[in-house]
Amino acid sequence: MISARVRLLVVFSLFGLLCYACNNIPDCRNEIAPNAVKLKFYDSTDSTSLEVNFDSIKAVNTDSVFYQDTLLSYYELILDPTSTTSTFLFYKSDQVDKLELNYSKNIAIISEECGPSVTFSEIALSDYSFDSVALINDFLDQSLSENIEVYY
Amino acid sequence: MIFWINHYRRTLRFIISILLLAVCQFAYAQEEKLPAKETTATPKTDSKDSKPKVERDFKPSAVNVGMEAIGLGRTAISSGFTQLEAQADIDFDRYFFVVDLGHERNSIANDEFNYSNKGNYIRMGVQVNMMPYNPDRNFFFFGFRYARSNFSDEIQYTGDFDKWGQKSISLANNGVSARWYEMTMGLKVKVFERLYFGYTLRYKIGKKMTGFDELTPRNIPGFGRADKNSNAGFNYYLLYNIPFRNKPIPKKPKRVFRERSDSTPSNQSLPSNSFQNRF
Repeated sequence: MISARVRLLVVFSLFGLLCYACNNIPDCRNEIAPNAVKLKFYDSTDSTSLEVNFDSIKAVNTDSVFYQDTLLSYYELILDPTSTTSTFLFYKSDQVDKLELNYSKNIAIISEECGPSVTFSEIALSDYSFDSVALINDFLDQSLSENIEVYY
Repeated sequence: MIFWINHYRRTLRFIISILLLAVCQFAYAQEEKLPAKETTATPKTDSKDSKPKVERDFKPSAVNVGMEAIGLGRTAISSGFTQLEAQADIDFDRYFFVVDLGHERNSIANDEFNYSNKGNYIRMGVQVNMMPYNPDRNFFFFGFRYARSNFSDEIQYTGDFDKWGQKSISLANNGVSARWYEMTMGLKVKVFERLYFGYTLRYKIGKKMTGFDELTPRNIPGFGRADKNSNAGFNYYLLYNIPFRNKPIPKKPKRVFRERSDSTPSNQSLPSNSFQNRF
């Protein structure tokens, strides 16, 4: 009877060891959510893609320059992770245009190794000085080609 | 189909493991010793059997109370983790009403962030003893639980956010609640006198979490990773049996065979390890 009980306990304990599942090792680069809004410029007369030269693109609440003296039709603007509003200023000669975005943000820990990641969603245009601006996608995703169309 | 299999690979693996485990447990349970007088049986061939009458006794006879051992072990060796869980159950014939009460604290940190999470949980449910005739009152069960957790969490995060420079974020959730359901199976084995050692395998499904804002909780006490809709769980319990009335171990009812006039001779007996003599 004792041997049967010992045998049962051994079987019982082994099952416990077998039940631990292997954890996947996360790839931090793939796990971190995108954090930039994709802005694409179009000609306001014929709606074709337009390359626009800005002296600089800056944002309120930071001294950093996002772009300097660039000629592009497509710009990626990183959103402020500590706020739910980001205001970008586009400098061109004497002209300054403004684009203000509101959004929701969420912080989640990917893993102990990768740490937290900020996810942005529900992006909305709150203010802008461009002639015409259209919000195409209100979320950020690597697969998207654009979030906002600016007719310049 | 391939996508589906890949996507639910871990879930499938768990279900398959549970099924294999159940088969092994039943196979092992077949080896219970039985009195010699039960090793023979009346003929089976060409006979008409009647259903055995099972005597039920739904009056409770004992409670089992105990603590979860893995959480205690992890609490002892890990500085960022605390889990205390108590379990109690009471019998109603071969059915048991079970309650688990637990408290969990969890913190993870590195150079950039410090996340902590603490809360309580309760699981309630019923489990069915699949081997009620065991002389040691060993216990193999399947069951179902409803679980709830209330907890809070917070994070301090200082990171380099590209063009925005180095910034600090502090967020907290107070009063987050979650509920989920569990399918359980397990075994409890008598170790000494009234002391039992048991494990429970859980498959946790149907998670719903409310009451959080910008910070998505990483863990739900009692459930595990909050970013998953289903989780597997495993617990070892050390339990003490406290009887409050003497309840005899029920005897396995035998099938009664009524011989037909053209049946084979009655001295033909079945093998001693035939199915009806097991459990």
